[in-house]
Amino acid sequence: MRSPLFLAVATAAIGAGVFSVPHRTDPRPAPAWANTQWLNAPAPITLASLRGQVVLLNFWVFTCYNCTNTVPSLVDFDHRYRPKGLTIIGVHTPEFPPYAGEHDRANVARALRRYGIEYPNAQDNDNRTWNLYGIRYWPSFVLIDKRGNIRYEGAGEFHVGDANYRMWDMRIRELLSE
Amino acid sequence: MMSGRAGIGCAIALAAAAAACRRDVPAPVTAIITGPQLTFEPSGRGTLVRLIVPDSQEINARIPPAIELSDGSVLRFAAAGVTPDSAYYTEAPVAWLSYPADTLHGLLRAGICNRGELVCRAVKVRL
Repeated sequence: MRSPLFLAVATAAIGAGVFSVPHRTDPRPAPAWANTQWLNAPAPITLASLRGQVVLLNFWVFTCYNCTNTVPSLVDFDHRYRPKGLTIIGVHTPEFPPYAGEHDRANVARALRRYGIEYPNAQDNDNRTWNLYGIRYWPSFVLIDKRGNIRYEGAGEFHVGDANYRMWDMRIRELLSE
Repeated sequence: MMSGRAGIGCAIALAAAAAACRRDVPAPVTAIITGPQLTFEPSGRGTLVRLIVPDSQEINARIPPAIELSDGSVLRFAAAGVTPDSAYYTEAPVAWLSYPADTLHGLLRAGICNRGELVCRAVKVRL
């Protein structure tokens, strides 16, 4: 028989749920990240510098199957909406300590090439941005409007053309049109 | 439920009968997920450690589970059986501990996913 603590945690798991579709949040200012290590960017990108852009943050790690399965959708969004004012930012947040290799810039760069990722990626090796945004799962998404407010959040794998992809696509277009 | 050390002790006591003993891992400290168990089986001069999860869960094979031992070393798990996309183990990953299980102290880390949930979770369990 499991201990009461086990049961309590199991109950919490059922209650917590995972929002695989973008869910609307009360608009609130997106916290400013301070990552210093970036790939696919000539210099660190700040949230303030993106004012006037719609920003999609993708918290991911290359060892996460659900994350890499979702990359084709993000690459598709990048190609279609970057010219219209969308900036996708990958926030690469390791799951394990450095011994697992997720912190290594060369490994992240290799993953970007492998998956055809051209949008900027921040290395979040200290999990600071992950914690700043209260993220719990890989992959997670935060959609920020042109005024710097968080409008939609969600987590979980999706694929080009599926229902969740279409929901994210619709939300991106909604914020781009504002 | 077996208490931690009692569970390990059971494995040792049953060594002569070549029986393994199962020990429920304490509740995770950072992730909302339950069910992983470690089993210990005497093997040569050491112990074979197996990480087992319920059928409703999968272990991420792209980042093998590990136990960060109290001496600073890292015990890595491995298994030959993985899904065709190399994403998950199809058999329980094992690690070989060079000493008896009852002296095992450390932090177990694993990427464990609930089937169908489509997200990865990090599980950390203090041993």
